[in-house]
Amino acid sequence: MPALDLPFFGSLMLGAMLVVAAYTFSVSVVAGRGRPHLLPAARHGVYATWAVTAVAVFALAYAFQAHDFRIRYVLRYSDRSMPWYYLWASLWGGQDGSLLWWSFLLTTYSAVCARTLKHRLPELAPYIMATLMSILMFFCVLMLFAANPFAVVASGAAPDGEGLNPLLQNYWMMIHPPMLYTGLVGWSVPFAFVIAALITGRLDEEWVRASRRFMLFAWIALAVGNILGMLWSYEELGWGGYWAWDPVENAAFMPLLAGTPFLHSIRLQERRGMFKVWNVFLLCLTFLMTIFGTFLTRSGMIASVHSFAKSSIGIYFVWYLLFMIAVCAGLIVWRLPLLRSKARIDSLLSRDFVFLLNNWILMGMLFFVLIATTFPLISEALRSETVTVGPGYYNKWMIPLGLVLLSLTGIGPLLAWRKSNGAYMARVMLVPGIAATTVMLLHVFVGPHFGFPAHVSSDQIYDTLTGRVLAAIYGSAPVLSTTVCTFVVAGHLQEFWRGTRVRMKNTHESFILALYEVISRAKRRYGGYLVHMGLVAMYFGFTGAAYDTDKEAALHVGESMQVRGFTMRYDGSRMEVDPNKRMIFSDFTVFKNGQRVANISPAKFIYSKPADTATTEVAIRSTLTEDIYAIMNSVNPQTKVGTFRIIVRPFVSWIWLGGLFMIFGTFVCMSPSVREVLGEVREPSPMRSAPALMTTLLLGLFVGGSLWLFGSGLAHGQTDGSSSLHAGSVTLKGPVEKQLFERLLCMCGDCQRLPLSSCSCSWADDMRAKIRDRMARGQSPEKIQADYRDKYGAKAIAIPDDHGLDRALWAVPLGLIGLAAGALVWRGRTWVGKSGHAATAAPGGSLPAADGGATLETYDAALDAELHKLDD
Amino acid sequence: MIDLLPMFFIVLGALALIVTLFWLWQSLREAVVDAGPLLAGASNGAGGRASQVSSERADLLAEKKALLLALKDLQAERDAGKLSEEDFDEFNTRYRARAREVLQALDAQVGPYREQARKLIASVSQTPAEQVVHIPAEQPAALRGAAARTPAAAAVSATEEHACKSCGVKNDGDAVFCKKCGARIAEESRA
Repeated sequence: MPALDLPFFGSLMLGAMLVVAAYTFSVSVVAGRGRPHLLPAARHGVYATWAVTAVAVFALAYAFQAHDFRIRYVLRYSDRSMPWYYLWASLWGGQDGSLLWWSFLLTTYSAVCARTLKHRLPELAPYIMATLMSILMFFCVLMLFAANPFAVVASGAAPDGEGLNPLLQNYWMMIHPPMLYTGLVGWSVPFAFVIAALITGRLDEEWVRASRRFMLFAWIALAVGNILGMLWSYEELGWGGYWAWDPVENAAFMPLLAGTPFLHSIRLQERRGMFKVWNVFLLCLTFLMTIFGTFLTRSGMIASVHSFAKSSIGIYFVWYLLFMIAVCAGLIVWRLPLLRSKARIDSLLSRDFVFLLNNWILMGMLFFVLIATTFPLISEALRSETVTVGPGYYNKWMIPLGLVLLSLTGIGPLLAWRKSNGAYMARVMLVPGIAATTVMLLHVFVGPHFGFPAHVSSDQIYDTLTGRVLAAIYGSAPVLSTTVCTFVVAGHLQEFWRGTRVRMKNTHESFILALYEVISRAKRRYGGYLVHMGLVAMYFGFTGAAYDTDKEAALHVGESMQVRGFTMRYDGSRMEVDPNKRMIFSDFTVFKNGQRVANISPAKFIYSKPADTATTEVAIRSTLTEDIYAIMNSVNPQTKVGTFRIIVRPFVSWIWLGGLFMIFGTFVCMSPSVREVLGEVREPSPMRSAPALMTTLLLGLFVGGSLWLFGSGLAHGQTDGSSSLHAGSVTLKGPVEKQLFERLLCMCGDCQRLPLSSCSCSWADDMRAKIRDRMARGQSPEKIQADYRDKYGAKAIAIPDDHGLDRALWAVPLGLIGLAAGALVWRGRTWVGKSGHAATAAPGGSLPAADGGATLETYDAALDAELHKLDD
Repeated sequence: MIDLLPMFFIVLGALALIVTLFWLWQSLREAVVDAGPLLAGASNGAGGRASQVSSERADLLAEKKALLLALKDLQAERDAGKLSEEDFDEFNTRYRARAREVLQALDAQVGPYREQARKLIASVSQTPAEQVVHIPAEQPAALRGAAARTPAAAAVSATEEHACKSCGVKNDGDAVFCKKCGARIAEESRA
């Protein structure tokens, strides 16, 4: 045991963080209020805050490595047998430590930001630093008073710790949480910029330009964090899916739904000087969503499989959220006169208006998810009855919304800014239209022969008209999706092609050179297109879920099972032993059309500590067309008879591929121009250390991701020796039973939100037996569900009913989306105005002329020169 | 190696602590030594330029950027066949006209400063002011941002040169110390 009084030292460092942050905050504010010479002091204060936070992080890391079990957090989240890298990952494995890690990332961002602001934006800089420090102060208070990672155990040091949850002991734990936090915390920086702009009243595009790369970086980090979460879930949790619409997943997803419209409408502000209020609001909302997400995750108010231990910190978040909402609202109202701008657009048939529609649908989705995620709380407050909103609900409703979004993604780039002419529009839509129709016809007529019918059967989540409509949409989602996806891809490729062709004609460059030049002259446009293509790839991957084939069988050695065209031959099982665990592998040979295509070995690992903990290791064989996902349920050691579950999931790889595309697209958006690298541009955004760092990180991420995806030969799953607890080995007989079990939640008290269709606890086993018995006696599923609800309450049902207050769950957001659409078209008409002279809608009207000398021709030449240099 | 790890984190922690103290010391020193000669440079460098940009000018600059984007979009979209020739002509003419106005207005704003610059150049170089006029006319000052100052500065430095008495290197007319050896060269003329 170390002699150093580490717990005391750690707490002292937390106190020091608060003091230094408060000091820096004060100096920054004073610097902002007319004493710019204090700016360097504030900047060094920010650096000092970062360093002192690093001291605290290293102290905690040391406590983990030295097994200082006096510290409660170390005791709970580590034990002596853990290797050093999991001890390091334990830093963010629990609530208290993750708050410290959060603070560390925040101070890192602050320091990078302060470095970037050196000699730049002297009026905004003090308030930017002050805002960042104020956020840090909140986290310091939180740690000091409610969640101190250095708190000691009252009963004294224990000989060994409780160990990190085996679910978290895999390499994803090293990657996914830091990435996600990087994304969530990253939004603090643009938020600080906008707050500074509001306080100083410098609301022109200065702050937008300066924080642009921070926004993009935060956005992509958040997106990648979410995708990594999906990967983790898919590879390690062994339930065969990647997204369960769990409240915590939603919490990480919602900031993305608020940030994406912001990234689009900010482009409108740059072009038109309009929607300033809206953009400021969106950015504040995104930041508040990151805080709200943290609150959801940690307060334990909504049952979730991810929940950290219930704790008292929820109330701190509530107060902080309320405070921040008040601050943002107050600032926006105060600055309303400066933010007002004459909104004018030239035509509703323009890219401008599609950008607005994009904002509309994304905000609609955000609202939908927000209502559904918080509905248990709303219902609890209104009628003292908790309801549960399960994944079935989201899956049904988000598909139509997602299709609308995807269609807008396809239409937007084809329209011209400002105004599109009907005939010209028809011309640019021709090729994508033909491509989409061809693919649709192929899907309808040829698809079924390859196992991809255009329509799939779909269960109804409600027995009402709404349920039937949803089921109809869901049933035809595959063909709708392939059609829209093709339209979007063809439209985007056409954009690349047309731009390149014109340049080739004008400059006689080769295709590759012309393409490069075209992209590098409008990086944000084409980078955005690449991100769109990534979205399409992901949507295509999601569509594949409609063709999932799931089979279970008990096999003797040498027997085979057929799943979606694949023959899986069970070759026997073997056991391997290492110091920590016994590993039982089952070997399969996979054939297709009589040809051997792969060997896969799903396994079960039985750990000696905690005693006899068994984990299920799935084996996945990925190709671009489908994944074979093999789960071993059990193997009889004597007879070697095993029960296995094999899922064939088409197109899953496209989701990860889409993620790579998104990273690459964002890299293109963020990458500096050659002139910036060479330092030839003094304004507006010099290439400095921070953007360089972020761009390099992104490139590294892209290369690393590509290597992982393609380098591992697309066969992964258990190559890392990491563990996972598999949710269950449940055998389902028939679709009726599956549909019913999916709607009933396990009510044993420990399994949060797990439906009977996948929960493997003994309570669920008994309940399934009882329900099967009732079904065998001829009772209808509806009756069984109603009885289940009567017995256990509304929270036992995965999808709320379609009547009474429960209907509000979808009716309110849907109604608002409809209303907003109407309002947008109506307002749009007034924006278009009488003659649509948007360009001359400047505040000053006619402007004073310059003194003589400069003639019109001079200005024309100057304009052309500027246009040539313009880097969009 | 495993035993070294805790040590490693102690070392890192200690380093971070030293760095903290160093930066805190820096910061406190800068905060306490209020606006002394030490900080004069920092204050000028940071606080000077941007605050001179009036909100009116900022609006004009933003509009200029928006108009340039618009003109670029228009070209790209006509090239890509998304915009008819008539629409292109209509918008292009309108936006160009407005852009010219904005550029002119921006130039008008720097007009008074240009007069000052002209006088300064004239006074230093002893050339008639009229001959200097063509510099801004060729390239409107607004287009080059702060660059309007440079001709004046160049003219000043180019006027007369003083040879250093100790090393003989030629120095700018307004130099106080020699750029090579650092010896004082300007007592006589300054005194």
